Amino acid sequence: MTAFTARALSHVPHVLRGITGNTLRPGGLALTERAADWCAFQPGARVLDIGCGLGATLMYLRDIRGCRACGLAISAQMLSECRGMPVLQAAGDILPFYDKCLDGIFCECVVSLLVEPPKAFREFCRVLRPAGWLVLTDVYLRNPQSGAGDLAASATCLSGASDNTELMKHLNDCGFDVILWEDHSRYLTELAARMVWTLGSRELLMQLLFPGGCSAENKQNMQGASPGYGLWIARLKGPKR
Amino acid sequence: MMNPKGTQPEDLVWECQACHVNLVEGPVTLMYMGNRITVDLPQCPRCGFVLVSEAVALGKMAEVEQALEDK
Repeated sequence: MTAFTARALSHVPHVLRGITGNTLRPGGLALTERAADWCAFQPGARVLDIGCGLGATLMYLRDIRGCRACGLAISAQMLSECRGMPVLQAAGDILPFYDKCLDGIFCECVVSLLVEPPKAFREFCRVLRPAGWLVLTDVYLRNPQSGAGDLAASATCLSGASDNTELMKHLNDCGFDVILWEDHSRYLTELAARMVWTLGSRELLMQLLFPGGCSAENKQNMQGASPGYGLWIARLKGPKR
Repeated sequence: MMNPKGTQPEDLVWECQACHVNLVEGPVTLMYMGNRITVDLPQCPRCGFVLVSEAVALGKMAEVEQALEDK
């Protein structure tokens, strides 16, 4: 058993699951479907869903797309809900797979939880076949220059929200060509709005996001950094000539 | 009409005056500043009239509007 090198969400807030269903992320399956169409995964494609959570993407890839999809997560509790589907308990940056054995990797709302994303990207490179696909969706900071404040105190993906430029550079340095990047911040805004509605106030949402408390200054910094949500589709670069 | 103290609008059975049928909770899509969210609100199953009580308008709906303005 390897030491887990990612932050696992300690629990899934009931309110989040109530709103998002089993996807547990902004936009639900909309971006998953868009990415699967873009990559044109064919029935039988070998696809790994890293951070498969409650198995929503895995079920979509297997039942709707006919992929030979497998899921991976570090939370045994979540994996226990992926009944009847092939799943593994492992960290996202130490993958128990042979080299070049996968056609694609989905990594939805997970990179922001990794302590060292480049390490995971290099591992993705290792297990993908040449020209294999990497699909990322995640929160990012639309205005990173303003300073994000103490977002690390957040119990959510916000804690690891990165700068898009930095993320693109990491992907490129680790062997990927980013083929597509799209901003889908609307999904994050709408999820936050639905959580406020369900909880009843913005204050209660802040308490959920920052269980240890969030100072007025940090709250202001977070608004200044303007968290957004994005889709990245990258392809493994070919061998150097 | 609200009578006993502490009774909330959602605790009452509301009737659509035009259709004379009880309102039922159901999904309603709200739009604000280009964002749309779907929430459950009492509505007439016949004509589609949606009840937004004063408590909802000044409470969670105002909070959501503020959240969207602050985004």
